[in-house]
Amino acid sequence: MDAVDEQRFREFVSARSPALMRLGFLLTGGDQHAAEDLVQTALAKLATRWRRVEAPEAYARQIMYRQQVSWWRASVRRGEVVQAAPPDRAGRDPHHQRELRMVLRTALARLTARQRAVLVLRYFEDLPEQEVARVMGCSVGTVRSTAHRSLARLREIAPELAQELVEVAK
Amino acid sequence: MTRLLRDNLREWADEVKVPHDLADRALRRRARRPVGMGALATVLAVGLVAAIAVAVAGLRGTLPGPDSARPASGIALPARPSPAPTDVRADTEHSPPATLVAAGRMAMSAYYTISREQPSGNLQPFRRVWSLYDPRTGGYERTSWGWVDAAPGLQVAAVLDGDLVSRRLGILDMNSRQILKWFDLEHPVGSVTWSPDGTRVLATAYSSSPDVLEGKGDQASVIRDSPRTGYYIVDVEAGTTDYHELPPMADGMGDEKIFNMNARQDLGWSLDGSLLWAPTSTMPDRVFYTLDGEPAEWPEGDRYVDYTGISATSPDGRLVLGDDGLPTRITDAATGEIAGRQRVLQLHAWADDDDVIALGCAGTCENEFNNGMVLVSVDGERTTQLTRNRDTNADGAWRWVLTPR
Repeated sequence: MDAVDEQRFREFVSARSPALMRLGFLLTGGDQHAAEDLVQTALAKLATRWRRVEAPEAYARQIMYRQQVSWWRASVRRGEVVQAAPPDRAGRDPHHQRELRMVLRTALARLTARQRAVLVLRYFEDLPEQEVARVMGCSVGTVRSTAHRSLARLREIAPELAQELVEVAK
Repeated sequence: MTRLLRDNLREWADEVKVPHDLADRALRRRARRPVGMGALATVLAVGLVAAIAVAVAGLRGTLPGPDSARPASGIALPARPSPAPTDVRADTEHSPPATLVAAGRMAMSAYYTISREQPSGNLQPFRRVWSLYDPRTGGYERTSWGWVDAAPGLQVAAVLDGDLVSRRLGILDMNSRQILKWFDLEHPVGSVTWSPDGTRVLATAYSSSPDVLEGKGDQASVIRDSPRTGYYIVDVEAGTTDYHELPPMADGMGDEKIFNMNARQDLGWSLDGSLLWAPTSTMPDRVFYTLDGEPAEWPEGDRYVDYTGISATSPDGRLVLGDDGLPTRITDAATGEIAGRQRVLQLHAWADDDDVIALGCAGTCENEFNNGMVLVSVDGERTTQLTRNRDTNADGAWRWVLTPR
């Protein structure tokens, strides 16, 4: 990478890092430190192939998705699982928007990384199922079943959200 | 309210802070192409793959031997206990256990902890410290081997001399603690695992240690592309070492459908020992090869516990272990109907047709990393603690290896 390339790379990072950090933040369940690490890793890989990559943002995002899947796959045997106890419920009025939001975030953070990634790709990135399957290295059927199980798990963790999430799943 | 999930994901994302120096950080790290956070735990989990052996009784000597590339004299392996013991042995007093832990057809043959080696510049090598079952004392003996894998039957173990990676593979008599034979290898290897019939050792070769992190403390991450180069099949009784090249899988940076982003990519045996498998970061969790390293189809009927060589199907063939919980599920192999749910984190291996060795959690499982080995019945109603709970996220946490008795 020469000086011109480096300048272009810096401009790219400056322009796109907010979007990449938003994605990283969601993929890691709201973990600022882990999100920074995920984005940093993706950008470091992008830098090594800067001249050869035609669509750098798409490339960085793909690395982030796959990295997250990879971490999840490898961590399966060390006990990364959803938790048994429901989170503390916020507030007395479950219909209050702010309380609902906090309940949902807590529940999302308690999903496995893969479950969360499927929901983020489908409902935040708005990727079609075929594209989610491609970037995560699994079948469309697996994407569907994982999304289904993720939503079921959210409903289980946070019964207040059950009705709303049923509608999302339709 | 159908937009609840979408809206909230967007609002949540807005709360992230964007560091100003991401480009600098990326440019500093690019030369070594780091691969991720939580790297140590990740590498450990992957390393477990090849450390787990599985047995298929009665196959010894029925499979054709590999082509001999290096003639040598073999050794006669001691016979496996017949019948194999099946009693339940627990040690819930000590962590790690001081005496053998076993249930039904499986035993904890070894456990390991992780030790960080002396850093070299910005590189942080680490290694496993293995403790191997010692029949003389009934407990576990700490060893200095780079890798250890007990053969089904717990009579012999394959060991690697010194630190990873090693050019010297030994066959250790677990009863006398003497090396029965050393195999000298041209290519260094980083893990060993016994064939299900306990006659051959699969050793995964690496050009350098895959267990190296870059950076310091919590910032340390896996630094490199996988250095896997191939594998040996060592026929212990014939005394042959047969090497095959097998480069690492695609690293996930391109458009490949199947990839593995981890540096350690240890190979394992299929259930009947007629094929090899390599771990992936994708789903399904593995791909198969012939013993010669040619791509092969998934063996019909084989079902595996994720990332292990252990069969998910019960010994009588009726039931299948399900995915991680909580709760976990066991299904009918023929119909797929749920046969039972268990309040455990993971199902690891069948002890017998009705009971499973599992990863259980303490109390109400509020912290899934506070866990231990349990024996749980298919219906989930009977749970026996086999080891003390321990914090698997803590430095120095021990991890078990299961082997058929």
